[in-house]
Amino acid sequence: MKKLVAFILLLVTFSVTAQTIRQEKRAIKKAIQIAYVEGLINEGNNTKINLGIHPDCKIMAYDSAYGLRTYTIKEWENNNYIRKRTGTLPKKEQEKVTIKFKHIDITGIAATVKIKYYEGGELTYIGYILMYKFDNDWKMVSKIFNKYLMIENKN
Amino acid sequence: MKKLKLLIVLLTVSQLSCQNIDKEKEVIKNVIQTAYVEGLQNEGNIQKIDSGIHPDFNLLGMGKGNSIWKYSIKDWKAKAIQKKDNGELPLSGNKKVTVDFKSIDITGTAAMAKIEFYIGSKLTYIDYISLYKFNNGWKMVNKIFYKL
Repeated sequence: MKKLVAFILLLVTFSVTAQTIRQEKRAIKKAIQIAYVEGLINEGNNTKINLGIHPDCKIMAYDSAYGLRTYTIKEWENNNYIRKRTGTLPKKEQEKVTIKFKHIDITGIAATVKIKYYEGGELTYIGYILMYKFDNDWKMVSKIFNKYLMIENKN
Repeated sequence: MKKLKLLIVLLTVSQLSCQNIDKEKEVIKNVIQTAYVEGLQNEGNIQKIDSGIHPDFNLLGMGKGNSIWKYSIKDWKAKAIQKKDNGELPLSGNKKVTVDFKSIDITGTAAMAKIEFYIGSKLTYIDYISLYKFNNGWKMVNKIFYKL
């Protein structure tokens, strides 16, 4: 009888944990979709950006010609202001960026996410995002990426 | 016959690609082991640190409220030198840091590594490390962590 109770308890614990992780993954996907894809890339909407990107988040870009470059979200928001004034934002329907989530790994209040990044339906980048959970909200704190053309490992 | 040839070519390419990825994963493990574990944590060895950690590297942590704090590698190295001078480094015995690689994902010149961080035999942190492959090899560029 004791063994049965222990087994049931284990099953319940496992089920609750799995459910919590599923919920957290959904929250992470939502944060990236709203703040990064819609807010930062497609619309230039600062309210949306602030929902899922930390103000101190930095996007790090590397290529052999220019070396390592770091972009702050503030710089990006300022550029978006210009893009909106010149009409390049919001993006037109056929130019819109979409993403696919390839992998999400969560440990407590830290997480990493791998995404595929499509421009107008064409796969152009793979991104790795680092996130922390602040109070109840997941926020991006850093991102690195690789241009798809340079990829040897098309996984 | 043509289909068979195509299949053989595809299998060969796939095998070579897997070999390359495995090789790159070993290189990344060596970089983290040498620069981070030995250089930064256990020894305070600047040469080892510089071999695998980019000068723009930051450790990112959660601060009070909704803030994040940054610990630059420049400051971390200065602290390591100070600890070495004070005799707190190199570490020995059950104070020594070891890591266990849980996953490494590589795409071209970008990678993400997840490691378990042990102080002695105690699992203390989970680290997520982002790396870029520069002309002079893989280097850590950012790290976040969760304290267990």
